[in-house]
Amino acid sequence: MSKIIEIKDVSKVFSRGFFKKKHRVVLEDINLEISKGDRLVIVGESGMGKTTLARIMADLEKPSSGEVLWFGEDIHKIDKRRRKELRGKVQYVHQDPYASLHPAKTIYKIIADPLANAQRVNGKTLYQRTKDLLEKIGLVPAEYFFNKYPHHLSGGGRQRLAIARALTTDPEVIIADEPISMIDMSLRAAIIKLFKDLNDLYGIAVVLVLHDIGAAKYFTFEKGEIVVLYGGKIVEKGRGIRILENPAHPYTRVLINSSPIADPELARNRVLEQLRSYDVPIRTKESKGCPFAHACNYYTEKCKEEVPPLVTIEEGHQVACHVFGK
Amino acid sequence: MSIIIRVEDLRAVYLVREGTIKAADGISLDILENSVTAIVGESASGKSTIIEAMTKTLPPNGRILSGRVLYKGKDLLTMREEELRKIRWKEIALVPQAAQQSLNPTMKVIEHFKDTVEAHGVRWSHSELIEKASEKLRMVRLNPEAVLNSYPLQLSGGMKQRVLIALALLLDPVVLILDEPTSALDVLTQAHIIQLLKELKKMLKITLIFVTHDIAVAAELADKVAVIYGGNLVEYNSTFQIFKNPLHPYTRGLINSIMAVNADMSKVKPIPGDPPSLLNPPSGCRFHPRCEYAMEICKKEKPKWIRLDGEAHVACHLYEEGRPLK
Repeated sequence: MSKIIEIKDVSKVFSRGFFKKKHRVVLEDINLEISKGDRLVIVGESGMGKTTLARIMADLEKPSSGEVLWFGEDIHKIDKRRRKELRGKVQYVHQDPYASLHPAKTIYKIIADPLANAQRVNGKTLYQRTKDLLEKIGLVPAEYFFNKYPHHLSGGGRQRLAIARALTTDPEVIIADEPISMIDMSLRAAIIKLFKDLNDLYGIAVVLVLHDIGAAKYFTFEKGEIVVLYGGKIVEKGRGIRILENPAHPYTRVLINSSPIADPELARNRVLEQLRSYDVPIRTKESKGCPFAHACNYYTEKCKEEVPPLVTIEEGHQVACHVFGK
Repeated sequence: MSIIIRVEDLRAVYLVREGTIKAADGISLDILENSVTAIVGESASGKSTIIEAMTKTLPPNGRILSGRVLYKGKDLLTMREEELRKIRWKEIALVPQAAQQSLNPTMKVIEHFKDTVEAHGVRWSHSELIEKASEKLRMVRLNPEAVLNSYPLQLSGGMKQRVLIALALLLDPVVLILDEPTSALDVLTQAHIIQLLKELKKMLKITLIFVTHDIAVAAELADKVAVIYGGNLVEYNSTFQIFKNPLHPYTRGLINSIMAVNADMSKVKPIPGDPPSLLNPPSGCRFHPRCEYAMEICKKEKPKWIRLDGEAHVACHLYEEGRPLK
């Protein structure tokens, strides 16, 4: 399998204050790989570093340390021209389709302009390619939408358009940050389905950042991996269905246990696990131990002192926990 | 159980530059005393309009065209402002949407409590106020000593939501209305708020009405669920029946499209199409363009709101013709 993106020992520190003395570690020693045709979901709550990780993958943000490789090449070492060549292969879809589309451009132009630029086509070919692309993502019949504007579309329609725009460069991977959080309930499954179809039919690798565990399950139940982030660290990683059915890390378990269940009987009888704290951990370079230790019900003295390494507990399933990582 | 609030044929519109948005189009609903009712719908389906009409808090461009909202036999819509003031907060309290923005950032939490008491003409001494406020804050599992003297920015999203609930409970209302109590919260916080509302329901004799876009939240909390689509009620039934035997094709579609952690993912099926624009809603049944069971009559006539066996209400031509959904 050829590797598209490799993240090697990436950390991200945001500094603030006049002398940049105050800082916060948002990502810590992240290692990840995306290969051709992969499905990957990054889950966690807000403030855990999901979006920053996605942005680093897409080269929208520079890591403080570590390497980001695209197709085996370090994107911070190659020259501008080469980076521009590769950039089309890695596309990013933003969270808010109400803000990410040009309000004064017609739907035709939103797709045709980048398409003309990326593929060097014009005239009839451009028209046909634009039409095909809109139909591919489910805006059918395409001609009906050509002269409309983004505000004529529902949230789901806009997100489809944003995905179509990402496809104009024939990407090998699409990275989407919370693509369904701004979208109506009845349209969410359809957007996730669209990503699955792009993956199945065209072999495009898809990375989704989600806080909705149910949606993560829907996306990965056939194939794909889930990465659980907590406090800027990967706490669990592995085959999606394995993690959801057999979570090892206490945080993953609470996250799954707290997700809404669409069954009145089960929902009423379940017992919620209470954490010791619900605060988002603020990590600095001086922080020791497991980021989850302040909230965990199973913590030991070791958890406060030593950062647990990510260890393999079964094939394709890794966890970073002193207690359950055995 | 007796009826505490009766909504009769409510019609409300919003005036905008492009025309009128028909947000509530003939809504009739009985709310039972000491029960939990969920009003479920997508964005811009008119679900908030119902509770805004109930509390007479429609925005300036909102107009109520017809209908009545009866509370203890009196119509809230025609009531004089002074009379309404006696009912607001003491009998019917509202927890607004967007908890993150609803508290005044320049006022401490205690001042919000003081303000509320004064606005409703209640004369309490300072120590009485502290005592009552502390009692309510403990009810929502906050530590009064820590919270009362904090500014909103010192509180997390979940804490702000809980402060607002405590504030709404201050004058011991009989009806508590919550607008999207769990949206914009993280998974764990959301589970926490739901848990809290469940406890409040057990602890107090109170009628809860809440609006949500997430039908899975209704499964956890509600006794009865009202489903609204495009400004029309389409189904009203007990929560167990709604999930076990959804009557309306939209309700069924919504339940099939839920990506909940416990759902059988191979059966998840998105609803095709887009929600209607309420500026130019579709003729007849507003769901007909997306409905797989649509008949000729659905395009022409609006289905009647009919009562079936037991508590079930539905607005669908299939049931008028005696051909229920299998």
